[in-house]
Amino acid sequence: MDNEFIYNYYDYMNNNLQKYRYKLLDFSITKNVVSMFLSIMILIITLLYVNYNYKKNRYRFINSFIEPIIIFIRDQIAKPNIGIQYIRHMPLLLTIFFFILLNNIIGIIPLFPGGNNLTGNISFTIVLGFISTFASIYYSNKYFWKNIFFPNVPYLLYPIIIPIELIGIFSKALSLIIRLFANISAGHIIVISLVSLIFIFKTLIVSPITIFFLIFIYILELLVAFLQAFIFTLLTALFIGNNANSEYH
Amino acid sequence: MYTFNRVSFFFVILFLLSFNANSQDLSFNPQKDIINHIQDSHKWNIIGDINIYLPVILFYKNKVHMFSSKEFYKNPFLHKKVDNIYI
Repeated sequence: MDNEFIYNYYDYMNNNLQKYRYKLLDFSITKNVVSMFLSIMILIITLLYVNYNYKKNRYRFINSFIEPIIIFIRDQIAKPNIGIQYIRHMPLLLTIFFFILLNNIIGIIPLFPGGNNLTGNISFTIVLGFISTFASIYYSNKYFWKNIFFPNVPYLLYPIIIPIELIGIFSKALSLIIRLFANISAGHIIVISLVSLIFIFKTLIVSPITIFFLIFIYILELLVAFLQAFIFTLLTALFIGNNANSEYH
Repeated sequence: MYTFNRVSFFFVILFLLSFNANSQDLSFNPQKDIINHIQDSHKWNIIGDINIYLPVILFYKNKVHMFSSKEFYKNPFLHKKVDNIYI
């Protein structure tokens, strides 16, 4: 590999676009990508094994661990928010829930394969948020569009109402994106900051306080890992349900 | 990729601003460690100085260029640049 090409690559990445006639696409496998592949592998193997066990009609420990979560998402998230068509949206909701949950948990494991800030990466959450938004728009009925472009209000209000409704679609996606990104990043930052206290004060006396707070924060982060996965799934179900069951008014 | 990097760079700056207060007085500066952890990177730290250097795959002029990211870390000038690119 010649050095000049690598220099050019980093010029390109630092946005000096004028020099380059050709587009440079970056498909690099970075730390987060490897972490994501790892979690995808774990999910595929685990859930296909669970599925296989049900087909064979036999009991395994992992089944009794996964089944309550699936039942919970079906009964507490999908049925109340989406309604009679909930079974159609279960694959999307379950995929989102397990994917975010597993990545959050891998993120807070401090040892080698874990410890990646994947769900605290803005690109990752942007993709998830857009998938959720596209799903909610794709499954919407005709009254969803009617309520946006021809709402039942005086015509003078149309210039105000229509932009607000259109912004509403994107602000829902933005709230999903920022919520996941900020919560997970904040957790990682707090953990490293607490460890850094020992080095800042240059004394071991701080370490009991640090360890106490770290255990507290780790338990909190475990809660946040479940909570954020739950919230993301709940809001996806809510948006899908709202758009799919829009009524004339 | 390009637009996402600009968006993420905005958040890096936000993080930096939030940690900038009174940072001059401290002998140990945790900013760099925090940003390095939050960012995406081409190398994966196992423990201590043991790293996995992940491949860089680029598509340029209808050709695929593939090389180890160790090329970046050999060169101190590039090393400085690499640290500031990804979140």
